[in-house]
Amino acid sequence: MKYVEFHVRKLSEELVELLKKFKYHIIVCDDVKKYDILNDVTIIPRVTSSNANELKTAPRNAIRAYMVKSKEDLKNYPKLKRVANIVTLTDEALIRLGPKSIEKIVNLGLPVEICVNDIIRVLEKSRYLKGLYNLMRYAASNSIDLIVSSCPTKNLDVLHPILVRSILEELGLSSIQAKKALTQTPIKVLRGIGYNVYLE
Amino acid sequence: MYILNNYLLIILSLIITSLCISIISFILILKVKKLVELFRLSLRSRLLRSYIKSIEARKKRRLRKRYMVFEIINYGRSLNISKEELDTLMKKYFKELFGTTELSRSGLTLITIDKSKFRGVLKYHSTYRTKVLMTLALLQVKEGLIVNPLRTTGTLRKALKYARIIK
Repeated sequence: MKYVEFHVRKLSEELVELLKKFKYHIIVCDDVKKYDILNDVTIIPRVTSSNANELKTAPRNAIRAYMVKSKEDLKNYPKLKRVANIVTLTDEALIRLGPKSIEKIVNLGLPVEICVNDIIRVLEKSRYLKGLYNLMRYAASNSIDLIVSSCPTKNLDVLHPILVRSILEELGLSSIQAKKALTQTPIKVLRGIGYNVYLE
Repeated sequence: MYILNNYLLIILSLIITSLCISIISFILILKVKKLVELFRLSLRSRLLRSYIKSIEARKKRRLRKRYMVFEIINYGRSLNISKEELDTLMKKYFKELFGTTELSRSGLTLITIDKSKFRGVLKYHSTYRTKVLMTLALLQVKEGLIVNPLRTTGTLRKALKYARIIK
């Protein structure tokens, strides 16, 4: 089984090696500007921003991720569909977003990305994750496409895909949905942009 | 003229029969759809759901032991943690996430750890697999031990063999 790590913030050789060991064969990285293959790992560029104009000027081959921190970021939400490929929710959004904001995101029809490390950090503080639980409701009923990544900057942040899947299952998804969030949905997004990638 | 009339009649009759067939098939499709919907509704019914739950509960009664072989990635550095310390850390984080009752039910224990091979074997009950894995994720984030779950087995002997702790 091979997986996709959809959000690497800073790339290093050590990190690529570890990701390869953990069976991640496609990496989408903020730190890269060109499509590349390193140690049999495919690396794809990505632009993450909470500014829609910045995403407009992003290179064509890069994945454009619109970052949502609060409900103010969703003011011009119908226009986002033309600009972004995915919507990324930060830890603040996972705590604060209410059902209406989540409904807006669902109506956009774009895949939604969440970071597992953020979830763990917030869970540690034993805070109520209003946004996350609202999102999970839609994800469990297959109303949205969910993408999950561990968002690593250093080796310690890289979580094994089995651990990531188990966290999703604990949050209320079925094992098939959890697996899909790490394999099929990211591949669908990448193919939508024009990358001929596949997981064997 | 007579032959032409006959042809027209035949064509007309064919058209009428095809129309009849299509109407009948449409009615049948509607009926089948209704039946399918009824079947779906019956599947959603409370009685059936409770029955399925009771079956699942019966299944849950039988707890099977599972042994997980895991690897700690430490980049050549020696492990500064003893077996007892790691065991208490795991239990602490499990308790933090799911509570004391779940911890006692899960049967989570660290059976062995080989410091030279950076491998260890965990024991838990099969239904608590995801919870144990989530605990390992929390352990990695908090303590800085990169955990790589290698394999899950049903017997300790196989787990030790896989971890290459015994030959």
